[in-house]
Formats: sequence, structure tokens, C-alpha cells
Amino acid sequence: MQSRSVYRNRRPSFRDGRRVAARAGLVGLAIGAGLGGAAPGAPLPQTAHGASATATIHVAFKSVTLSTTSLSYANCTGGSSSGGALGFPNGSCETGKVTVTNAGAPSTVLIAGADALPSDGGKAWRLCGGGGSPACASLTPGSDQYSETYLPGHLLGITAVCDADFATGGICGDASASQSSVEALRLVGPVSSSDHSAIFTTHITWIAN
Amino acid sequence: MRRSQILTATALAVLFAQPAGAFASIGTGVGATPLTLSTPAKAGRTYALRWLYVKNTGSVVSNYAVHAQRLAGGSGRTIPAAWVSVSPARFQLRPDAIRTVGVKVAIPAGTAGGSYLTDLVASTYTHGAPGSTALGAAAADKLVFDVPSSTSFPWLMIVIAGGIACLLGLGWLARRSGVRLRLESPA
Repeated sequence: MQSRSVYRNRRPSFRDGRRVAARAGLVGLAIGAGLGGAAPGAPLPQTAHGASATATIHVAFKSVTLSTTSLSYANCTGGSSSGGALGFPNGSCETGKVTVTNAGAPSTVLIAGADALPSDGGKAWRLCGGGGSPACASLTPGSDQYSETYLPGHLLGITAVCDADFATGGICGDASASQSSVEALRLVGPVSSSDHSAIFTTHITWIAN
Repeated sequence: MRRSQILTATALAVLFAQPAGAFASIGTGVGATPLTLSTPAKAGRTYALRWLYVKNTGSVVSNYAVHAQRLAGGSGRTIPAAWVSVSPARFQLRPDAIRTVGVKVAIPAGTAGGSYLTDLVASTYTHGAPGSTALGAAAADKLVFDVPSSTSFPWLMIVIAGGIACLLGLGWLARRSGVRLRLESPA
């Protein structure tokens, strides 16, 4: 008990002074970091005397990363399909796998498809059945329509919707940091095509929101 | 050659036999903090917001585009894309590089009061070879602001204040003119 009161009342030593200086230095660095954080990469303000400290600010990012830069439809079956070529009526093809990773802060991962555009700029095939897209003519796409699903069977539309592969118990929510999903795509082509191009292109987008 | 050296050499051979493209990835990141105005917005003004950070989280050099598009439902009015301008709207980033994008929002005069919301979507796409599907990786940051409801002109307060002023004025005039009102009972 006595020693405690002695400790409280003793004069500050040189070592204590160094501790205080060290703490002050830390606070100063934190303030400097706060000021510099407004524009990372910008030069620090010049000071009249002394040294300056550089602090790195890490901004939290929402991010989605895809494991490949290319995905091709192949293994086509149905109608007059053969190999990687889609046939009529209503041939279907599948892609290989792509790993989609929520690479940053927790975020909702959305997915959206698009219409398929012919190489000659003619009449596109409308993506049907999914969110924001017209209904398919019947259980299968009609003329100049096609449907696209990401396995095991979620229809894609032109409107971005929650990627069900990241949903928990069917409820769309934030994917955790580094959560990933291996996905593959399947399309069903039209009954017939007004445009006679041999190549149609489309795209699929994953969005961290 | 010892067994460990043979294993090491084999592992390296397998490692370097992999084509570089097999590991290529594309990715987009944006700052996770929503862009907001610190004060309620006023119609007829243009505001410069905090930077939108865009990061290449993939492993290849990629081209990026930024645009405004509301993705989420929910309450709040949608900010029309025409109100929002970003600069630069298109740029290229090396892997892990970050770019700041300036964001301005011009609120037309006569804009109704309420909460306004949209998403700033940064995206990159692969250029699919013929027969392949183009893949897109995008990330969106929210842009949110409030426009206060314009309050109606305070006519009621003006009428009440005017009435009080009139009464005070009449009283003052009556005193100056020497007019006195005397109430007497009939008895």
C-alpha cells in the first residue's frame, strides 16, 4: 500500500518522459494519417521544421474476382447441335467452371445476364425467363429467344439479382470476405433464329454490391 | 541425384509447365463506404463528392468503366444517371492498382424533397474470343443524399403578427388623440 502511494507521488523520471514522448509521437502520427487520408498519393503538406511521417491508409473495398478471363460454351446437345456448336431447335450448351470470389469486405454478390448479339449486328436473341427479361415463349425459348442458367438451375435475367450460390438458406445477404462459389453456366438456344450469323456473343456480370 | 532433389525438380517442372493464362483472373473493387453529402442538398446546385476508389483486384491489366445505375430496391427516390458525372469514366489499371474517380452530382432546380439513392458501378469485361462468353466483374458503391422538403410560406404567422401590430398601432393612436372610453353602470 505504501509503495503504491510512493509510486503515485514520485517525480517523473527520464524514462517516463520518453514514454510520454513516444505516446505523443503515436498520437501525432495518427492525426497526420487522418489528414493525409483524404487524398492518398498526394504529397504531404510541407512543415516549417522537423521531420514528417508517412502513414498508409488502407481503404476497405468491396470486390468481386473471377478466376478466369475466358469462358466458352461447349458440350452442346439437342437439336442439330454438335460439339461446341449450338443447333436448332433449342439446343443447349454448358461452360466450364469459374470461381467467383467476394474478395473484399462483406457485400451482396449480384449476377446479371444480357441479350446475345449476332456478329453481323442483326437481330439479337433476347434473354428470357429471368429478372427484367421477357418470359420465354413456352417451357423452352421461342424464336430469337434464349435462356441462361447458372447451375444448379437459377435463371439469369438482364436485371442484376442476388447470386443464389452466395445466399444462405435461400436468403440473399452479405457474402463474407473471401467467400467463393464455383459456378458454371448453361444456355438453351432458340427454336429458330432470324439472324443467320454463325457467332453470337453475350456477357455475364457479377457485381459486389 | 538424391530423391528430394528429384521431387523438387519435378515440382518445378509442373509449376512452370502451367500456362500463365490459366491463372489469369479479373476483378473489380470499389470503396466500401457510401458516398454521401455531409449536409442536406439544395435543388439547383452542383456538388462534388468524395472520391470513388476503384481497384483492379484481378491479375491482368484491365479496362474499367464507371457509371451510375441503381441496383438495389428499397425506399428512396432514384438519382437519374443524367444528374451524375464521373471523371474519368474510363481508364486502365494494372493489377492491384487503385484509381480515384471524381464524382459530381447536379441537382436540378425544382427537385422534390426526399432521400435520393443510386449506385456507382465500376466494371471490367473480358474480350471474349469468338464463341466464348464475355465475363464481367463489377463492384458498386452507393451514392446517397437528402433534399429537404421545401416548407410552405408562413402565411399564418404573418397574419397573426400583422393583427398584433395593427392592435398596438390603434392603441397608440387612441392615446395620442386623447380619446377616452368610460364605462359607467346605469345605477
